[in-house]
This record gives sequence, C-alpha cells and structure tokens, in this order.
Amino acid sequence: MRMLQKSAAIAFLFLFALSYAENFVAINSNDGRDVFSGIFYASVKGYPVRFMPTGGSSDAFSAKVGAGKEILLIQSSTSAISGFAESSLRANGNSVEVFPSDNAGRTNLELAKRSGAQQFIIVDSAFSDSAISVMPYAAMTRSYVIFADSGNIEEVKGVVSGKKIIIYGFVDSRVKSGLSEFSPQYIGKGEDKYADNVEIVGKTMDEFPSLNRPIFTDGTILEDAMTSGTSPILLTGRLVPQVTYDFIKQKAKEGRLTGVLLIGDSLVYPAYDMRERMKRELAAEGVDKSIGVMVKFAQAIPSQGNAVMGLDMFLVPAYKPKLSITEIVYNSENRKLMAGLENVGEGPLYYTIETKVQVNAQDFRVFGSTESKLIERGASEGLQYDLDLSSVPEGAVTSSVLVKFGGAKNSLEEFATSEGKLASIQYTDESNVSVRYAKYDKEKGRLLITIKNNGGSAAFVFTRLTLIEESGSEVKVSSSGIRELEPSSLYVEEFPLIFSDKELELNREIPVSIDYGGRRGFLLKNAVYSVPLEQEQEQAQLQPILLGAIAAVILLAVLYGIYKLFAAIRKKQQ
Amino acid sequence: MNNRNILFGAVVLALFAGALMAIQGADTNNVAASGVNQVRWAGSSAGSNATEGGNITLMNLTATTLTDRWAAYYGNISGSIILSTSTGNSNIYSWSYTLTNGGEVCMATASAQTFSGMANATPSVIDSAFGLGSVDDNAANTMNLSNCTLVLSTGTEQNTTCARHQGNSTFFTAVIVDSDNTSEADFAFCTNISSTGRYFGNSAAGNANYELMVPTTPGAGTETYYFYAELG
Repeated sequence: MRMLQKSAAIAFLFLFALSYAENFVAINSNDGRDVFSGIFYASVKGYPVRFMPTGGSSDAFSAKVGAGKEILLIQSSTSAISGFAESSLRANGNSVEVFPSDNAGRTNLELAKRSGAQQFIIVDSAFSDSAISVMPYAAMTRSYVIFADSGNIEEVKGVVSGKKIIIYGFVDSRVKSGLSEFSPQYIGKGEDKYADNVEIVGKTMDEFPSLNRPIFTDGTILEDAMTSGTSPILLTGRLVPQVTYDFIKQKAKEGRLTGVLLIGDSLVYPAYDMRERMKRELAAEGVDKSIGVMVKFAQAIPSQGNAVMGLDMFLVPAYKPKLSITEIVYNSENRKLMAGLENVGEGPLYYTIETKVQVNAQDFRVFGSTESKLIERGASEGLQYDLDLSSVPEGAVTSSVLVKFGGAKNSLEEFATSEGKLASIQYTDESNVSVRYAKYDKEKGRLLITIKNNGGSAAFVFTRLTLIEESGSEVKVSSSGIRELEPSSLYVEEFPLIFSDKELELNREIPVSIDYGGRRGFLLKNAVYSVPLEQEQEQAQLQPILLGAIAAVILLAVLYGIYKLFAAIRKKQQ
Repeated sequence: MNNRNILFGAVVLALFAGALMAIQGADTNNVAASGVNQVRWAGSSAGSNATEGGNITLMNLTATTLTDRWAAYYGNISGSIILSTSTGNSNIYSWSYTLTNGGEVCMATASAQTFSGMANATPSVIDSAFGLGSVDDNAANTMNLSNCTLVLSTGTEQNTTCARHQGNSTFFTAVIVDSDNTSEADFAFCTNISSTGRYFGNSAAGNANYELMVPTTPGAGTETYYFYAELG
C-alpha cells in the first residue's frame, strides 16, 4: 500500500513538472552569474525576465512582476537578496517553481541544458564585461551564454557538442583548445575589452539594423533595459575610449546610429561631451549629423502609490582601474619637478600624463607623455622633469596634473587630476634597502621574503619575484603594494603561493627584485638579489620525527623495564 | 629467547610508529606556483558602484495621483560639473548643460524605449491599450488637443496629440508612439524642459522644469513607468 502511495506521489510530481508551463523568469541572487544565467535562459525561451535588484525588497519586486504568471524562480541557496521573494510572488497570484542555485557555475550549465539552446556564446567566467557585451546579440539570436574556464571546460564540451558556438573576447587557452574541435567562430581578440565590445555591437547592428540606439554603460550595473536585447550595449568609462568614439562617429555618419541611452546619470557628461565633439568633427567634414543622448533616470509604479524610485540596478563586480596622484613637488636640490603616481586598483593599468607648471596663472612649462605606460598592480611610478625655478618666487608657482588611465593600452577610459600651489622640497634619496632571506612555509602555502631597511630614515619598497613553474616557464609575482619600512627595521613580505615538490627543486635560488626609495611615489632605486630558498616546512617536519624518536625511546625504556621485571619475576620463581 | 623476540618486535613497532608520525605532516597539495592576479567574480557578492565626479542630478521629482486613470509627476533638472579632484579642468569635459539648452522629459512603460521612429499617437488607441474605457477622464477626453510641438533629437514632432495642464501649470503632455502602436509599451508621454516652468500647484516661475501626466489602467493596473530625459 505504501509502495503504491509512493509511486503515485512520484508520478504526480513527474506529471506536475511536465505540465508546469513556465512563462516568466525571476531571479533572486546576489551572485551575478545566477542573474546572467537567468537572463540568458529567458532570452532563449522567449520569456520576460525580472531580477531582484541589489538591496531590493520582495514587495516592490513582486509588484513589478505582476500577477497570474507561471514563474521559474532562480534563487541562490546561499546568497539570496530576499528570503521572501517566493512567498511574495505566490501571494501576488503567481505559481512558482523554484530553481535552487547552490553553485552559480553549475547553475549556468544546468540552465544551458534546460534551455534547449542550439547556439552558444562562450565567455570567460572571470569577466562580467564580456557577459554584458554579448547579452543583446544572444537575445536576438536565441543563444545561451556559457561561462567557461579551465575548470569546467570538459563539462562545457558536453553541453555544446554538436551545436553552433561563438567564442567572445578573452578566454582561457584551455577553453580555446578544448572547443577547437567544434570549429567555433571568434569575436574579439581578447586584448582590449572596448575593441571586442564594438566588434560584437557592430555585428549586432549589421545583422539587426533596427537596433540603432545602443545603451551606453560602464559595465558595473545590470538594469531592466539591458535584458530585453532591443538595444546593443556599448561599454565606456568616464572618458570615452577612442575605439568606441570612432565606432559611434562612423555609425552616426552612416546614419545607422541615431542616439545612445544612458542608465542613470553617471555617464551624462562623457556622453554629451562625445556628442558635441562628434558634431563639430562631422560638421568640419561637411556632414550635418548628430546623435541623441537619452538618460533613463527613475521609475514609478502609479498603482503602488505616488513614490518615485531609483532604477532597479544589480551591481556587477567589474574591474575598474584606479590611480592615485601621490604628490607633485619641486625638488630644488636637483631642480626637477617630481610627480608620483600609484596604482591602487585590483589590476594593472596604463596611463598618459600631462603636467602644467604655471607662474602667476600663465603657463611656464608643460611636461608629459602621450604614449601609454604600464603600472603594475600595487606599484608606483615616479616621474621627474627638468625644471629650473630658481628665479621664480615660490608662492606664485602652481601646477596641474591630468592623468588619463585605463585597463588596456589603447583605451584610457578614466582620469585623475590634481592642481594647486607647487610645494618646494630639498630631497636627496639616501635610502638603502636589501633582501635578507627567502623562506617557504609549506604548511600555510606562503613564501616569505625578509627585507631590511639599512638606512637611518624610512624607506618604501615594492617587491617582485621571478619563479619557475613546473613546465620550466618563468612567472613574475609582485607584492600587493608598496611597503613602508621604518629605519633599521626588518619587514617580511608574504606571497601566498603553493609550490609542488618539483617547483621547490626548480626554485632553490629565488631572484628577488626590489624597487625602493625615500618617498612613496619615487621608488627610483632597484636591486636584484638571488636568495637561497629555505623551507620552514623542513623544520616543521623535523618536529614529528623528533617526537617519534623520543616516543620510541620512551617505549623502548618501558619495554626494557617490563622485560627486566619479567626477568626478575622469572628469576625469583626459579 | 621469547622475551628477546617480544622486545625486538616492540622496537620495530616503535620505530614504525615514529616514522608514521613523521609522514603525517607532509603536504600532498600539488598545485602549480601562481602569482597571476585575476579579477574574478566567482561566488562574490554584488559589488558597489561608487559614483565619482561628473554627476548630473536628475532625481528631483514629485508625484501626484489625479484620478484612478492618471498620475502626474513634476520636478527639476539640474546639471553641474562636479569633478572629484579638480575644478573645471577643461581637458576633461568641454560640454556643460544649462536649462536653456532645452530638451525633454518622457515617461514610458518600455524598459528600453529607443525613441526611434516615434510618431503622433491617437487618443482612441491609448484608451484601448490602457483599458481606459468610455468615461469622462479617458484619453479621448483628456488628450484632446493636437497643437503641441515636441523637440526631440530625432526630429521635431509638430501638432502632437496632447493635453495642456491646468491650474498654474505651463506644461503640456504630448504623446508619441512607435510603429507597433498597440500596447502600453509602445507609447511615450513627453514634455519639453523649461527653465521658467510652473507646475499646476504653484504660480512662481521656475519652480518646475517639467510636469507630465501618464495613464494607468484602472483597477488592475500595475504599470511601471520609466523616466527618460533628453538634454538639449
């Protein structure tokens, strides 16, 4: 009887699953991959989609979803935005099937299978910019977008086998080689996210000419307008990258792009500045064309009251380069203008700089470089320019610095400025720093480099290592930032690294390069030390051996005592 | 002899135990050395979006519900360059917006209204799309003028279907529609930005830069309206 009941229940659930005619996708997750996967799934199936915005409430969410829908709710098991989304949707008169996501990478692939997509776009799992860039094209072509990396490539191959695939932008080399047997189409070289972005936008506009008003965004948000697929998405920063500018201008000139849509107000100025510059340049070419700049800036639900709300945005953790101008001073000791820059972001950046020195508000000298230069993550750049101010009174001298920077050499999309009275210093760099030891802590998986400030005043240091991988190839590893060392002090720089036994053999001597100096932004001295690699683990391993030996001796002594005892008893018995 | 055997066995056992204890500390991890810093989003929470410099404030809005078929919104547009580390460095942005540049504010239920290929709308189609019915305050009786001019970047819309607001208001709401011309999302309700405008409840000039009326489906309506601004 119980067996029959169980079978009936299973059959009911099976029939329910078959009969559940979902017609709407809702997403409730703080993990951006869940949100993207839900949007991609809805695009393939042709369903409307809504996601919970960052910090959003379930009531406002369900009000926007509406009533009478059969909803597939993709909900993070570990990081949902609201715990009430499901009940709120049900209370609003919807039926809900929950798709629990306890691993967003796996959810991406499970929804890929469930979607029944016949075409896939592969992007690297690390870059949300790529997912945003391909979203409209995926929607228009009913393609599903898969986040691939070296860890899941075998499973990805199983999903896309026999289907049409496009690889977009930068992907891991193992992803490329793994998918090569399927003869994928490539879009973008993966060297510059803005160049790749205009390539997919151009392809989208060529294949779907009615899409002539792209969304203009910096890639840090998702908003409803971006999920519909009716507008290509152009990436920009606070400065419009040249490749993006050239693309828009050319399309405007051809009459194939009539305007851009901004989400929120953060890019109003670069967009309008771009429009005015473009208008002037086209006019100079004898072309009377311009583009509209529309800003989507708020929302309201009249039936829910008369409140006006900010747009529903899901904040995407995207990489944004960050740079700080640490100082701009005149060193009267060597008659040089000193400009210090520091990369304070989470990755490398490229920059150009223009520095003006003014005397009584009149330009006195202008310095700079137009060629992009690299600053590694956590590193600094000290720039010095010859400048003789000996005949100029100090109070009347001012400086202004403009640094344009970005994540790619040809796309400087951000800027930093500094201006004010030019301070004068007398500075000679007498710093003296050396590398003392290199130790590997196998237990904690870290390499420790001990550095000493031998000088009598504070010093600043940035450390780089050159290591050899198992394959024999070299890999450079930098410290996460610049360190300040007190006079005559030791500092232990920690590198989280795990070496294999073979790599320990290959790295018995470690080349340690240090940039150092007496001012934070001016690490103009460099030294390279080859340091023997000691292993803390060896000492740690000695301990158990020693303990084992001591235990063995104690055990022997005890056994010897027992033996002697038995021997004495036997002797006595005899 | 037996005792000696026992002792020998114990010694072997003790040494073996010591060796075992020594082996226990060995790390079997065999991951390659890697110092590449990748910006991964895997498993992370949503990030933050700190806005820096160059902001324009567009959020000054007030809403009023007029009937169960119409809601009204008015507010101001302000634009000022706020650079985080510099003041007015002309190398960054050469453009600045003032209200005299004009422009328009629109409201639409479409989440990505492109304002491309929009044309004049017909009140009866609005009534149909929004289910306003044959009542005194439907679109046919409200949007009953056709003499408004809307200045869009895509072209000037002359003689647009519109409603001129009453009370102290200096604004009108003009309605335009895309080529589909059937559902709510096809419509946009727009007005021109004015630096000297007044909303319906105040007679002081310049107290509002725009004012708009939008229809809502009576009873079951759950429209979400989005605000769009095109600054001239």
